Amino acid sequence: MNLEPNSCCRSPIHDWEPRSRIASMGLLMLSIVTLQSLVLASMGLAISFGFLVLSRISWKRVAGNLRWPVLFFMPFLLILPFTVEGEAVASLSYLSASRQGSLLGLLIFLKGCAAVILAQVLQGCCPFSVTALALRDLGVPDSLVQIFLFTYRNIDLLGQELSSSFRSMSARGFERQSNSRTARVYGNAFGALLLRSLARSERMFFAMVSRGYDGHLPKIKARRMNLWDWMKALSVVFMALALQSPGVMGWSML
Amino acid sequence: MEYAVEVEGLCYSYPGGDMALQDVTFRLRQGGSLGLLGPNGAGKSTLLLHLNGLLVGTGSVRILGRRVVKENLNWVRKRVGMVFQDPEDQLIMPSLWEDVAFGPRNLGLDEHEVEKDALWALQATGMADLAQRSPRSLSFGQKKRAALATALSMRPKILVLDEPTSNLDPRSKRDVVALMKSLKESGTTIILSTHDVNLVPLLADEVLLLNRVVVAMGGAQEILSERKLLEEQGLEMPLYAGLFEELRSEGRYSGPMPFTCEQAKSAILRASNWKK
Repeated sequence: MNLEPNSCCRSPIHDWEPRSRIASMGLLMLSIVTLQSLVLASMGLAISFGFLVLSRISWKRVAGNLRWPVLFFMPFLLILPFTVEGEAVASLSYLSASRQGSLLGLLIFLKGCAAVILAQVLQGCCPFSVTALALRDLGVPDSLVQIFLFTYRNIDLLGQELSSSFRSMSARGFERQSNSRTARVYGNAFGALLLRSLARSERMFFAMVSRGYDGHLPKIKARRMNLWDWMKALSVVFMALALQSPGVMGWSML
Repeated sequence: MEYAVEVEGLCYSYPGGDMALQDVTFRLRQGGSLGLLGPNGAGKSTLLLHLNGLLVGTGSVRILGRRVVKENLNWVRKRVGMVFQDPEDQLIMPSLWEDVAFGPRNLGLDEHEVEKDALWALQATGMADLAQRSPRSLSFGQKKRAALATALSMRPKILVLDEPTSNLDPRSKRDVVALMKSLKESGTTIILSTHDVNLVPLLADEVLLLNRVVVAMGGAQEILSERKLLEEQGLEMPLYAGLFEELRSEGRYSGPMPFTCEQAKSAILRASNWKK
C-alpha cells in the first residue's frame, strides 16, 4: 500500500513552499465551506478542479478517495429537500420536496466535494512528513504533529499485522459469519492487535530514545519562500477573498 | 587500558518481579567485538538496553570510562549506536532519509553535518539509492540495513546489535556480515546478541554466554569449542567446529578446530594431504 503515490510528481503545486501552500489553500478551503450561494459554491468546486488539474495528481486516486465523503454528503442531498420547509417543487405520495431544501442539500454537497478535492491536492503534492513539519512551523503543537507523523507511519504496519491475524485465522478454518462467535473472534483479534501495538510502541520509543530523542522532533531549517511562492500564495488568497466578496457586499447570487 | 564497555554487578528485574539479569560483570576493550550468546529469555536484549541507558538496573555500566547515569545519557547515546532486532521498531519516519537523519538532528548538528553523516551511513549500508523511499516499501533485508544506517549516521564508537541477521535470507545475511566486518576493521567496537553460533566466529573475538547470569566469558573459539557448555544452555557448536570435534572424538582428526569455511577447507586439505 502506497499512501503517497503522487508526492514525487512535478507540478507548480508540488514546487510550492509547503507553509505558504498550507496557509493559503487552508484559507481557500475555509472560504469555500462558508459560502452561502450555490453559484459561488459551484465556482469553488471549479477552482478545486482547477487545482486538481494543475497538481497532476492521479484523478483515479482522487475519485477513489472521494467515494466515502460523497457517501457522507449524499444524505444531505436526499433528506434536506423533504425536511426543509419551502416552496414545493415535487411531490411523492404524502412527501413533498422543497426548493429551498434541494438547494441547501446541493450547496452542502458542492462545498463538501470542493473542500475534499482541495484537501487531496494539498496532501497529495508532497510527502506527508513535509506537510506535518510545515504544520508545526505554522504553529500546530509539536506533540500533535508527532501523533500525526507516527500514526501515519504505522497505519500500514497495523494493517499488515491485522491482515496476518486474519490470514492465520482463515488458515485454522475460521469463516466470517453473522453471529456472535464472529464478533467475539474479531474482538479478540483487535484486542491482540492493540496489545501488540502497545509492546511495539514501547520498543519504538526505546529505538527513538537511543538516537537522542527527547520528546521533541528536531527543528529543520525550512526552505525560504521565493517570488513564485509569494505570487502563488497571494493568488490563492485573492481567490478566497473574491469568493467571499459578493456575500460581504450583499449581492444576491442564488 | 580504557575499556569501551565495563559492566559490574548489574542486576535487573522486570516490573513483574522476575529477575532478568543477576550480577552480570564483564569488560570489553575498545575496538573489540563481543558475541552475546544465550537461550531465549536469557536477558540478552535486556543487557543490551542497559548499554544505552534505556533500562536502568542496579550495579554499574560504564561506556568509554563514563558511568551511564542520567547526566551522561546524551553523551552515551551519541557513542553507543543501537540496532534493534525488529527493524520496524527502528524505522519510524515516513522516508528513509528522514529516519537516517533523525539521530544526527537530535544531536543538534547543523543541516550540512546531518546531510554528510546521513549520506555516509546510507552509502556504507548500500542504501543511498533508496533514501527517498518509504521504509514500509523496503524488503526485510533492506529494512535491516536501513536500521543499521539509522544507528551509523550518529557515527557511534560502539555498535550494539540485537540479532542482526535474524530472518535474513543468505544474501542479505552475507551483506550484513560484510558490513559489520568492515566496521570492525575500522575500529568500531561491536557487541551483538545472536542465536546464530555460526555467525559469532565471523564477527566476534570474545563470547559472553548469558543465562540471566554470566555462564562463561572468553575467547570466541575457546567458548565455542565447549560442546557440553553450549548444549547445557540450549545452544550448539558451530557447524564446522561440531563436525571436526566429532572427528576428533573418533580419533580421526587432531589439528586445530576450524570455525569458518576457509579454516575447515584448510583442515580437510591438511588432513588428507591433498595438494593443489
